[in-house]
Amino acid sequence: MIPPLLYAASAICAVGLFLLLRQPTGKARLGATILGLAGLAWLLVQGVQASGAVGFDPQVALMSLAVAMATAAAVRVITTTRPVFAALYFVLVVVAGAVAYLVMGAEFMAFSLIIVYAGAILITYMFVLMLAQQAPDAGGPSVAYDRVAREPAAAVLCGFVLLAALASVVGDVRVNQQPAAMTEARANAAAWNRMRGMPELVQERITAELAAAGKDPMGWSPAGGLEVAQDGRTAMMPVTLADGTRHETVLKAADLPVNSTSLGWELVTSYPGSLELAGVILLMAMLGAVVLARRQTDMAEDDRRAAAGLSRTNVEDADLAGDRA
Amino acid sequence: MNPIDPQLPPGDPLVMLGLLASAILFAVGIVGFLSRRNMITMFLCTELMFQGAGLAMISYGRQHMDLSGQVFVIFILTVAAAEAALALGLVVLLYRRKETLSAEAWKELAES
Amino acid sequence: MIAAPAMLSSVLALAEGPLDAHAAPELRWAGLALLLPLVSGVLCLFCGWMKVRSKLPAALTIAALGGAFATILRLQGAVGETPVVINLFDWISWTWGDGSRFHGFTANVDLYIDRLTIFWMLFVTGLGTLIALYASEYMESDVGKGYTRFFGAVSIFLFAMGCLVMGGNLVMLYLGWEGVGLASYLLIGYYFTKPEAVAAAKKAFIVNRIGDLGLALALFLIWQCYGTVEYAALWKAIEAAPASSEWTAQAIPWLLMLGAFGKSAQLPLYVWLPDAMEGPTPVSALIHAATMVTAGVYLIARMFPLFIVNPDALAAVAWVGGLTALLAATIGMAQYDMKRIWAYSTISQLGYMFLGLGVGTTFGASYHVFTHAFFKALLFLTAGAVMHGFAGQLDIRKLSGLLKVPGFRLVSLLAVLGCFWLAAFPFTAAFFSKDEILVSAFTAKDERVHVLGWIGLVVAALTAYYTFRVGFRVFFGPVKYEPGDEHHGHDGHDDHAHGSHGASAAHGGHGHHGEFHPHGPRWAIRVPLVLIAVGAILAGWPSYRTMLNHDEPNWVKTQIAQSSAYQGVAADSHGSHDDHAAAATAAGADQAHADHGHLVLGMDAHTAVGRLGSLACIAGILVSLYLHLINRGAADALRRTLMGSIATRWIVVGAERKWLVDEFYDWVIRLPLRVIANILGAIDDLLLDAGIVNGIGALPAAFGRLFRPLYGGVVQGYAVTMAGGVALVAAWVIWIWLRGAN
Repeated sequence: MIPPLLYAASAICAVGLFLLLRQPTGKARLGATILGLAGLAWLLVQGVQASGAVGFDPQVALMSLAVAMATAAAVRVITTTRPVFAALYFVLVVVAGAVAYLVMGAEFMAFSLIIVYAGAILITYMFVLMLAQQAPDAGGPSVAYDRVAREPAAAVLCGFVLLAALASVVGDVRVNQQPAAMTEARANAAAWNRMRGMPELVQERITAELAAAGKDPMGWSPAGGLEVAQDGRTAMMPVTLADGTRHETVLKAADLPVNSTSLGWELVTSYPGSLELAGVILLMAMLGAVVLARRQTDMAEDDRRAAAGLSRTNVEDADLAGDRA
Repeated sequence: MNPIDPQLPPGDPLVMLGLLASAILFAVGIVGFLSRRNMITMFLCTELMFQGAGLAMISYGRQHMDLSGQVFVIFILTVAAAEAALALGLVVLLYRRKETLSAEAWKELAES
Repeated sequence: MIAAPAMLSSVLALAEGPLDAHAAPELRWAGLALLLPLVSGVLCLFCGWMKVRSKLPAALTIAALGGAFATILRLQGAVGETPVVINLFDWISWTWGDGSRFHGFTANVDLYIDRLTIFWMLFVTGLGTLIALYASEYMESDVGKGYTRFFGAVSIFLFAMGCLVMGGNLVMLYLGWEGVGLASYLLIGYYFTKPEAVAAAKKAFIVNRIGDLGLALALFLIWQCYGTVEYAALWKAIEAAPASSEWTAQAIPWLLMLGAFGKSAQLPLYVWLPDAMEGPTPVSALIHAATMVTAGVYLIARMFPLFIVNPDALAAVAWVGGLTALLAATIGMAQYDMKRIWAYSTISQLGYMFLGLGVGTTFGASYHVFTHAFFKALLFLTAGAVMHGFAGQLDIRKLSGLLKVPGFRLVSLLAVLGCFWLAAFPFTAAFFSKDEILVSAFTAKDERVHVLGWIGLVVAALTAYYTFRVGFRVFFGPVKYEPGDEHHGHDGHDDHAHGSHGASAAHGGHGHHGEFHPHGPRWAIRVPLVLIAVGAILAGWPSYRTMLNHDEPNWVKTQIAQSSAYQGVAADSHGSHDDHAAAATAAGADQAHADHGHLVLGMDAHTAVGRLGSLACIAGILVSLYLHLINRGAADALRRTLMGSIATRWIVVGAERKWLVDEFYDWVIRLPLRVIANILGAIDDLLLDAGIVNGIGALPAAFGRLFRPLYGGVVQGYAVTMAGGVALVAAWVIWIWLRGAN
């Protein structure tokens, strides 16, 4: 990515967002939207170009669509003046983000995202909105104080300096990446290693391979460990068949565990402590939410003692009495 | 800061787009947090920033073909959920105090 | 006792000539003349601190000044013909380099005592004592208020004057010079609640600053040219190299002259002296008539070896003196305030003294200083007594016939006596001293100054006129007076035993004070008056002796002749019989220009000046007699006549308004200075203060105002700062990282 162009695109996006934050009406709003989308498109095109890929790829097209949708929805989140709409647009952001996750091969996280965010968190937001919603006043569909953004210029400036900075890193990802083959080999080695911890899966896969190879799939026993090939794309495992012959079973990449299996394995094997901590955090958040949401009384300590039928401490009065004496 | 050497192997356009989208979401989240007055919208904006962070995790995980990125998204979700619970509890509390959701109703940090 | 400075001892080793001083450590008691006034000044300070409400400060001061006078009298006997240097204690002694001539600066607290010093100190301390005694009664209404301050300042004045006259080097002279200026300032501004007095004090101080600048520069140049500021060494250095053509050496007399003109109220710096009459009358008598204003004469007389080598400078001194005498006399003729008339006459007489210096007769100038000190002190003190008795009345139109007012007879008699002396009536002391000056003017070598003799004669006539204008108006004629308006002011004495109860029938209409009784002075005023009058008469004694016995040299002349004031001065016409004087001069063959070479109106200069001077004096007195005693209406008629014609009107208006010199200075000097000051002030205010200082001060405030909306207490304002900071830091870090990566 060429930095000046990148900054120019960021600046165009910034101007568009700024104009939208000013709550324009009619044609101006349309123009601002077009301007912002144009800046966004330019930014995305630059990103795709920078990756060095050529030709049309449906995955890239889908990803681009998801990204555009997420961005547009995010902008609507912050430009709409009605919190309910903002929450709904945020659901759209989450969905678009889930699409991007899917395209990038994180199926489990995509669905988790939808379930946790769109399903749980956003519902909480809705409840709170209902609890705390103020009646719209006469001026329009929203509450007066949030009809116009505050200090949009400073906000947009901050946001887009950050965007430009982050985007310049994005442009250099390719420069700093390791050779794809090496990365792949290492990743596959890790995947095969994970598979070693799943003997039942290995047994299932070998049985399937033996059946596919026309051997007797029943009554075999392992004759050695899983040997990963040099490039990591295949792994070999010697087995003794039921007839006593020895066979080198070859497992292919497709035989590796699926995303959710691997992820669960990784989570419990590599990050058990973090997992426990996450549980504690959630528990504490629950307790905190309960404490915070409790209805507060306006009574002071002494009044409450009195209400409970206890004697007053009268600390303050005693001090005053001492002063008077 | 130089044009990328064409000799380099091509990168993954999905990673690029994912990272760009994460940066954009994060920036938009900041802009929203700074410019909206409604506290609920402000917290939605922090969720936007969480979204950006998660997307960046997934993208980098794909680039390095490592599952840690996705694992971290799980933790991000956890923290986001906890934050949402607490923050919304606080919002309800603050709303009870002043009968408004405007962040500008709270100016105790001002010197005078 | 204390080793004399190295330079001095080297000079003393060579001592041969008449001016070579010798160290006299055994005379250290002479320092008492300085110490006593200093001690009394300190004690007065102490009295002020203790809030003494009695006449104790006056007693202290009179005792100290009397002691100083006694010290000088004893010193007069103890010091012979050669000057002595008395080292009191070492003060400044720096050397650098090899310590040779121009590589050292020595200024010790020395006394340089020659006959000039003693002569000067005699009348300074003597008159100081008598006037302090006078003031002890005159100022008594201020006992407990300003009394202590007054006598403290008088003591300081006498101490400073002693430093000025007796100091052994120019640094001490300068200290004394500034010290008398300070005392003068303090005493002019004595009535500091009176705006005129405050203004007059400031005027005196500032005008004197101009002169003092000249003196200071002269001092620097003297060190630069001669490598020393000590008199004894300086005379040797001048003798060795008398006439340097370096501009620095040429500039010295001119700068010294500036200093002298400032202190002695000569053109163009005389304007402070008339205003200085705002001070109490004893101060006018002591400081602004008898002693301090003669410091300029002393300076030139003392530094005469530097002047004698520069005829142009001498001529300038003579001309300035002559013109000042004429100008001040014309102004004095048209004033109505008695003290101011005497002030202008002081300026005029000082002009005579400078004329005398300029034409080379340091003897005449010094003698005139001496005689003038007595009769002018007498005139001021009698004026003060009148003022004291008539509630501050000084207007000569409102006082008449005081000779017949009971209690004022003595005062009036003495005042008339003083008038005769001031008018230089034949065979008074002033007649002789003035005669000496005018003869020298007519017979001077420098032809440029001869005309000044004629001017001097004109001034003599004018002086006689205006002197007796006061005399006849105030002390003769019908008894008639109006009291002044200071009944409760500084001169009012409601608790005072009135010396006179016979109020005049022609009493003025100031009924609101009840019957006005002029009160005559008591002994503390009368005794000094009488003693000073006797002094004024006796001041002529040396001349009477010379007149009667031509072989006997004038005592004053012998005194002056044994000092630096006579170095290089031509032996004058009396050189034949003033052997002592001739012997005292530096050897020089051609100076003996006898006055028989200079004939004035066909007569010997001495005879001619004596006759013409007498004539001028008597003519002036007669005119005055007619206009101001016999037919007082004629004076007013004359004034009306002159005012009636455009051609002569300027004479009256000019003289009465002091020839508009103050206004001229106001326009030519004060106005441009004020304009410049205002411009600079505006630059300071607008550019430096408002622009740069306040501008820099306003920068942080402006910067703060720029960001103030962010810090109104709303959380997002602080979040903007945080996010902006994070964004900038991120941008910076990533930029550095990327630069390093590629």
